[in-house]
Formats: sequence, C-alpha cells, structure tokens
Amino acid sequence: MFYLFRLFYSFLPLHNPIGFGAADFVEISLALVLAGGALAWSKWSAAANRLASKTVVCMALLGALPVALRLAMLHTSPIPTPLGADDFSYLLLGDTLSHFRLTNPTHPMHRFFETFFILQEPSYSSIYPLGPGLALAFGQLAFRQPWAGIAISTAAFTSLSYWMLRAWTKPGWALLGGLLAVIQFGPFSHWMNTYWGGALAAAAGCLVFGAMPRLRDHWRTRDAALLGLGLAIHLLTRPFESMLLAVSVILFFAPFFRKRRELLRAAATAALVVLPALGLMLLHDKQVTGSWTTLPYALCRYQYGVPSTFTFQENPVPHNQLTREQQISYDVQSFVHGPGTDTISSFLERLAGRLRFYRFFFLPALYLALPAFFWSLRDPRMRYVFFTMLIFFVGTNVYGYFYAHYVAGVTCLFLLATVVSLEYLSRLKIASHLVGPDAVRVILFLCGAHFLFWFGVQLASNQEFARDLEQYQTWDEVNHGDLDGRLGVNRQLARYPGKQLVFVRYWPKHTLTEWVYNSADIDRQSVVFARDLGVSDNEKLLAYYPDRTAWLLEPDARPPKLSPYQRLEAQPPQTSPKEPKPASTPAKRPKLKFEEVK
Amino acid sequence: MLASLLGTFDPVKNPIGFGASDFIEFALAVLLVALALSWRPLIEPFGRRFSVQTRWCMLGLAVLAIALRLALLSHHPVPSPDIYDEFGHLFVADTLRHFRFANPPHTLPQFFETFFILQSPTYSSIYPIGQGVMLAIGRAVSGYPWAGVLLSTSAFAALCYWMLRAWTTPAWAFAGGVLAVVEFGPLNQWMNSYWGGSLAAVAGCLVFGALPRLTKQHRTRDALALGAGLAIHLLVRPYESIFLMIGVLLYLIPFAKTVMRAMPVVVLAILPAIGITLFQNKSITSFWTTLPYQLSQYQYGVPASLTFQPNPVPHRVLTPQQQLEYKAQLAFREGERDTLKAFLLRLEYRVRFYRFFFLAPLFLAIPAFCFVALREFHYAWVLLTLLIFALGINFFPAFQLHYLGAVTCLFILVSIAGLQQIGRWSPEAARLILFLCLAHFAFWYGMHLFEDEDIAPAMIQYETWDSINHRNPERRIFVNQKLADLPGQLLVFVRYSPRHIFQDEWVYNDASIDSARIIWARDLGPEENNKLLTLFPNRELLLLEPDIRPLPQLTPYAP
Repeated sequence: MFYLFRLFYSFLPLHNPIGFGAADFVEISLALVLAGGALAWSKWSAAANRLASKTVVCMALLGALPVALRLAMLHTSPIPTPLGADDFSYLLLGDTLSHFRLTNPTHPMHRFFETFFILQEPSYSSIYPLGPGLALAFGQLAFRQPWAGIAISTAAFTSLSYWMLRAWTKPGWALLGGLLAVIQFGPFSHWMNTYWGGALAAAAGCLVFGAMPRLRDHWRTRDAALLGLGLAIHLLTRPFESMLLAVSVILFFAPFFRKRRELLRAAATAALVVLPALGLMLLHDKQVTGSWTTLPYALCRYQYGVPSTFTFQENPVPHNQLTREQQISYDVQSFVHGPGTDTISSFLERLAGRLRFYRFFFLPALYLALPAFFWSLRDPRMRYVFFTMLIFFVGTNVYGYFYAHYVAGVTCLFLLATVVSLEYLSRLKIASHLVGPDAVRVILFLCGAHFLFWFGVQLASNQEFARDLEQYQTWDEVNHGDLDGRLGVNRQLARYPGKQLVFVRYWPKHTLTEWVYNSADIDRQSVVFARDLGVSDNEKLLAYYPDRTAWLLEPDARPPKLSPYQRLEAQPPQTSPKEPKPASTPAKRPKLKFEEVK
Repeated sequence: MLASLLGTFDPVKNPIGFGASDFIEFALAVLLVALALSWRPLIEPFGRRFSVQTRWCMLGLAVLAIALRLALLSHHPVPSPDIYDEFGHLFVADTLRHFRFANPPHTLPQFFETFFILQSPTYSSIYPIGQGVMLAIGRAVSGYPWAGVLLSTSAFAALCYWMLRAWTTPAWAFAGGVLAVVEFGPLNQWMNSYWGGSLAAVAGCLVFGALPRLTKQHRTRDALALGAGLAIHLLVRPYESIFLMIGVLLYLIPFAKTVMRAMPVVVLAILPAIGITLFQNKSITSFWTTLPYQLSQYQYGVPASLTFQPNPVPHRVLTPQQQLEYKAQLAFREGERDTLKAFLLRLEYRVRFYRFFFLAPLFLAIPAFCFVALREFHYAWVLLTLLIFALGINFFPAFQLHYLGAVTCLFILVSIAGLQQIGRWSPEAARLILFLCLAHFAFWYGMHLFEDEDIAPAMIQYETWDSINHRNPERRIFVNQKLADLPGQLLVFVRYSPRHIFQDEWVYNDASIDSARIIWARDLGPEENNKLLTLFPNRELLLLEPDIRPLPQLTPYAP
C-alpha cells in the first residue's frame, strides 16, 4: 500500500500510480498555479495594492526574494563554478581588488600562466572594467565568497527595478515589474549564476532611468546624485554602452533645455558623482596598462588580437606570440567579426539575428502583451523609452558578439515596456466589456507558473525527471553538476597536503576550454595551474616552486586525468605557439549560452 | 529569417529565441488569453442563452463530436480492428446483420478457432449484443460499422448534457457536455476502436439523468428513460448492470413512496432487453440462462472468472494460441483465491485508470467535489455509486475502461460540480481550469490535425490516455489490400511461426463463412487442410505467414 503516493515513480501513464504522464504533471501544475493565482488574486489583490505603495518594504522584499530563492536551491544548484574565460577573468579582477590594488605585478614565469582575457604584461591583470570586479571583491571581503557580490547585485537590481518603475507607473504595476524582475533575472538567470555580471549594469540602469523622471519633476539634488551614481556604476561596468546611456540621458532632458539653471545644477551634481568613477577608471588604466587612456581591454586587443574590434573597424592583429588556444580564440573572434568592415546589409542581417537574444528579457507569455506597447507610443514618455531601447539595440550591433549584459543598462526599460504593455492591455474592452484585466491576469499567472514550475524542477533536480526536463528550460542557466570536471579535479587536489603545482597538458584536439587560471597572488596559492611547456621549460617552474608537489592534468581525458608529474620524462611541448590557422568552428558550449549569429 | 519561426527549437538558432517549451507556453498563452478575452463578450452570454435550449444543445454537442472526428479523417482514417475483442463485437454485428443471434456451427470448425468466438453449439461471438447492435446500425446506415461508434459517441455527448441538466444549471451542464466531447470525443479510445464504451456511457446518462427528474416530477417519460438506460446497459455490460441497479435503488429508497407508481413503466422498458438477452442465450448456448460468455469460460477457460470464483478449466482442446491466452488470463489473478489484501492492492493499482475520466486539470475539481459531497446528499450518493462500481468491477481480475462506461457521466458530474464549487470561491479559478481543459484539447487536436508537420510526431509521445489510430495496423491493411486486388473467392491458410505472438490473431471470419469472399483458416497441416480444400474446391488458395517481418508474406498455397 501507499504505492499510490509515489507520484513520480514513472511518467509512463500505465506505470504511474495515478495514471499521469509527464504532460499531465505539467498540466496539473499549471492548473494549480492558475487556479491558485486566481484564488489568491481575489483575496489578496487589495492587500498587494496597499503593499505596493510602501516603497521601502517593497524594495526590501524584492531585494530579499531572489537571494532567498537562490539560496533555497543551493542543495541542488550550489554556488556557481566558474566555467568560461570571462568568469575567471572577472574573478581575477575581484581577487585583485580584494587585495586593495588595481593590478598585480607581472609574474616572473608568466609564460606558464598565459590564458584568455588576462594580461601578463605590463602587469598581471584582468582585461575587464572595474565594476563587476568591485561587486565580486565586496562578496569576497564581506562574505569570503565572490558570488555573494553577484547575489547582492541581483538583489539590488530587483529592488531598484521597482524603485525605477515607481517613477514611471503606478505602485501596483511597479511591484509587478519588480516581481517579473525576480522571475526573469533572479535565481535561474545567467546573470545570477555566472560571474559575468549583468545585474550590476542593470542596477545602474535602474538608477539612471529611475532618477531622470524624478529629477524632471522635482529637480532635487538627491535625484541628480542618483543619476550620477547610476552613470558612474555603468561607466565602471560597461564603458562602451555608457556612451549609449549618456545619449539616452541627453535625449531625455533635451525637451527641457529651457530650464537651463535646473539642468546645469543637476548636471553638475551628477558630474560630481561620475567624476570619481572616471578618475578610478583612468587610474585603473594607468596601473594596468601604464597609460592613463589605454583601457586594459584595448591593450589585450593589441597584444592578443582579442576581444575583437567593432565591426566598422578592421580585425585586430595580435602582437604577442599566442599559445595554440589563444590562436584558436583569435581565429574564432576574427571569424565572428568577419573580414574587412561592416556593410549595411551585414549590419542589418546581424541586427535581425539578434532579435532572438531578447527572449532573455521577456518570458514567452509576455510576447502576447508586448504589441500593446505600441498603443502606449502616443505617450511621449513611452516614445522616449522605445527610442532608448532602439539606441541600445542598434548601438550594440556594431560589435560582432552579443551577450545579454551588453544591454543590461536598459533591462529596466524592458520591464517598463512589459508593465506598460500589460497596463494598456488591461484597459481593453470588447463589446463594452472590460476584458483586459482577465487577459492580463492569465498572462501573469502563466509567468508565475513558468517560474514556479522550473523552481520546482530545480528543487527536485536530483530526480531523474528533473534532469530530463532541464533540456526544455530555455534561456535560464543554473549550474548543475560538474560540467568540465573542474570540481572533481579541485576535490582531488584538496585531498593532498601542502602546496601543489599542476601542469595542464591539452590533447591535440583541444579547443577553447581553458584550465590555466590563477588568482591575483599566484605564488601564495595552494594550487598553481600552469601550462605544460615541455620538460626543459617546466623544469624552470619546478625550480621556481621547489616546495610544491607537481601534477600533470590532462583535461581532455574523460573524466579529466590528474597524475603525478614525471620530471624526467621526455615530453614534447604541447602548447607551443603555432602559426595562425584559418577560422575554425567554435567549440560546442556546455549548455545554452549566447552565441554569435552571422 | 523571421518567417522560419518553427524552423528550429534550438533557442540560439530560432529567429526569436524560442525553444520548444517556449512555443508551448506561448501557444498556451494565446489560447488562454483568447478565451479570457472572448469569455465576457462572447462565450458567457452566448453560452448562457444557448445552454437553456436543450434540443439545440444536444444537437450541437452530438454534431460537434462527429464533425471533429471526421475532420481528422485525412490523418486518422476509419479505424481498423486489431484486437480480438473488436473482432468479437464486429462479429456480433455481422451476425445481427443476417437477422439472427447466432450462426450455425461450421462443418469444419477446427479451422476457424479463434479468440472469444464459440464454434459450438453455434458459431457466435461471446459478447452481449449491445455494442454489436450499434455496429450493425452503423454498417446499415453508411456501410461502415464504425459509424455506429460515432453515433454512440455523439449520443453520449448529447445525453451527457441532458443528464447534467437534471443535476446542475444549464450553463454548467453545457460545459459538461463540452467536456464530454473533449474527453470522450475524437481523440478517445472509445471513439477510435470497436470495443465500445460510449454506448454504456449513453445508458448511464439515461439512468442518471432520469433519476433526479423522476423523483422531482414523477413523469412517465422519465421512468421510460430510466428503464431504457437500464435496458441498454443490460445489453451492453450485464455484469456491471448489477452495480447500476444497486446505485439506482440507493437513490430511489428515500423516494420509495413517490416513485413506486413509475416502477411498472421502468420494468416494462427493461423487459424487452431481458427477453433479448435470454433469447440470445438460448440461440447461442441452447440454454436460456447460460450466457455465451459463460459457455466460453467452460469451453475455452476464458475470459477469466471473477476473483471469488475458482479458475475456469477449459473443456475443449485449445489451439496453442488459445492455450497461451488461457494462461495469460489465469495470470491476471494472483492466486486461486482472492484475499482482502490482494483485493485492496488491485483497487489501489486501478486508481491510475481513472485518469481516463478526468483531464489532469480536472483533478483539482475532485477535492472540491468531495467538499460539496459532504454537505449535499445527492452528491454523496454520486460518490457512493462510484465507489460501488469501483469495488464491484474489482472482482474481475482484468480491467478495461469501458467497464466503467455507465458512470462516465457521473465522473463528468464530479468535474462540473467540483468546478462549480471552485467557482463559488473564485469564478476565475474555475474558468481557468475549464480553459486549460479546452486548451489541452485544442493543443492535441491541433497536433493531430496537422500531423504531417515534423513537430507533431515529436510531441505525440507526451499525449497521454488519448488513443486515436495514428496509423492503422499496417500489416493487416497491407494484407487486406493484397487480397482485395485478387479476383474471385479466396481461402487463406494462416500459418504462424513458432515465435508467433499469440494475441496477434488473424483467423477472423464473417458470420456466414461459406459465402464470404475471403475465408481465413488455420493451417492445420497438409492432410487436415485437404478436408477444407474439398469443402471449398473452387477457391483460390493462399498461404499467409503473418509473422514475417517487416510485412506478412502472402503466397499461393500449394496443397
């Protein structure tokens, strides 16, 4: 008996104790959420409306919610393991900053530590701007966990998205927008489950777009300072897109050019807040590259030929000797950039291809509401929102790659467009019947159902069915298991006492998955990862680290193979620089990621 | 590029970044929003007006069930029988078509031994005649026995609304009728096979629709409807008629004094059915009180006996296939005697089959119904009747969904009354559950309607409990087609390989074997076969080896 209660025993209806197949479970979950939502709505919508006007409470709630939800998933989806080159580069930046410095001295054996998106000379540094690193450093210093910085950024964003929306719409809709932010950019989001950032730029966007309408209405210094703060954070996070943001800010205030005095005062206040960020940025440039005006990013492009240039520029030419993996990376990035410079046709083709990536910002059910946004364009404020989104859409298209965090600054505008669409839809009447609210509730319940369904799946992700279902979870990205086998290797190394030195040897078919990543202070690490440069060269590093146990790691074995390093063994160098090769296909990414479209 | 929206379900390649689940979510959103938008201005006012027009509603629902199924014909043609129960019912129909209850035994019956068909004392199906009558009507009306199945289903959809009118408001009754179409209509096993189910459900509608009317209005026509329902059910599912009768009696006990006057009418309506049953028994088994089914148990040891009875023992020499079927049926039972534990375990196991009667979202209505049943006697009675059926059929070791055919309308009543209760808490919640049911149907119906698309075959694996013939049994169709191309009268010897799957029977013949264009006979070896050749000297001889893969082999038979 009680077999009846083993509900998930099987998804074959005839084997399932209540005759349910997978689709039935999905349907009943959906019905539960829809009916539950309707019941809750009828009972608590008035209370929710009252709550919506309590700014501080709502901000606290919306800030706490994504963190609490993500922490609730920790048993199945632990703190994310860094995977991609960007992850490691940002972590290096965070680690550097947590040592209270902007860069690190070049390592005497830096040839062994060549990797992606990290400069070895003139200093050992990440190529990325400071912003995301600051968040990670804060997490590291305050919680001994860089990811805490990501979680806090997300909390700040969801909380500020409500604050931003309060300046544009009614409290109820603002709260709704905040909840949508939690659903879309919270516990399942790529932004909360990697170290790439996104949430911080989005939080900056909230400050900017939330402060502007307030400033226009009241011309308060506080709002000007918040505008400046938003711009400053965005500048430190996404310098290029900050230009687009600045244009948007100018466009917003352009109609008020007659209020010269108020404008100047606000601009001065904002500038005062932006200036330290600008100074920090210049100092960072100077420390990392040796030049006040050369971004580490630009120096990396000069040295390694990556990241690729804008599409109106020619492909960069590397000036350093590249490792085989760096060469592949360069080839891939050059391929994505394409030969020569952009034409109108290729520009437009790329633009159309990028529409797909905006799914990241809208759940499927919301696509049904979005057409209603066009009704709102009669409102000049909404026209401004539309043009700002367009500026970012077109502006980021001059770069060959696209990742959702490039347009993170306008995430709150996407949320605004969503709630405005829903608001307009809610006014819809058919044959003198007010039918809009019904439709809006259905859409919202479906969004809630979407979130709760996947949240339930995540909570049960140790179950077989949950693993089967994950393939259908699009655009979310939660870390599961040990995709590259890094955790396994780290666990293996942790079992040994003393300090370790790991030579990483790639097999001939190895492509882009890099394993040589180290922290800001290489020599003091318990485990140092180094490239295998062949017996004679390796001896130099072994001599440099006489007290470390040497290991050989072959990450291309399945699972990655870690064995004691044989010092006397004759080994040909595996990672010597090679001649540039024609563009090759990029390595298959482990899970859904943002890929470039040509 | 945007035009190729469904070109790929890989989100990073799809032009709008949608994966398969996104499309499903979006499609669902479209359906639900469309329903939400049209509910107040269109559906609700129209539904309210229309639902009070009993005849139009019944007609509309009846036509809807058939029209929806016919629209699928291009991908889902008229079902071909495949399982021996289906052949058994078709055989009843064919017999009835000759205006008789049984056929004379064949002179060489050993060649025609098959499942669930008696060879002596008469050549007959073992099944009661109800389903056969419908199939015969279908064949008479359109040339296709399946038309009888369609008619049963449409009658059920119409009568389900009629039944619900006696229990609930017109609007909810209409919603129930729509649910009947959605659940038991074009995608349902009952409408896509010859086993029946709908006719027992029709009978149930008549019974459960007449009961409240009879106790309130004491009209002769309601008594007649009750009697007709019981009569039809007796002709379709004699064993389950016992439980139906118990349910009826339980309902009527509190009204005993007032309904007593109507009882003669009820009995009068049932009597012809009893007479037909007895006459059929006499015609087939030579005994008024021996059912063909019972005789089959005696002769062939199948179907299995009730769990409190001893296992039947065959009294004929069985073919290897019949022997295996006998063993299979014995295996339905755990031991010689049922224990309470075994009974309860079987009962628990069968819970899964009730999904057939409730779409997944309607499971939410069940607790709400139980909540109502605690307060209202007639709903408590519904639960009791369902329990009686569940316990009653649990005495039979095998389970088929049509055993519960009669109480199908009560399951719909459970859904509707449950939704009605949810609607009292939140009309929108009830509406959304109903919308989901409609969306469920629209989604799967759409998949079947556009089954040529690549997307449909990939999705259909997730369709549960529907049972529409995607592709009819290819091998039977192939053989039938080959035989149809041959002129004249044919005699086909069926030779099974040693590894033949015993249920895959091919020897099914018409009621009148000798005059059939194609005669299917077991291959009993050259010497024995010669007897048949002597009997049918002018027929072209063929040998069918159905176990050859991928398609059966049909070759000329060399004596």
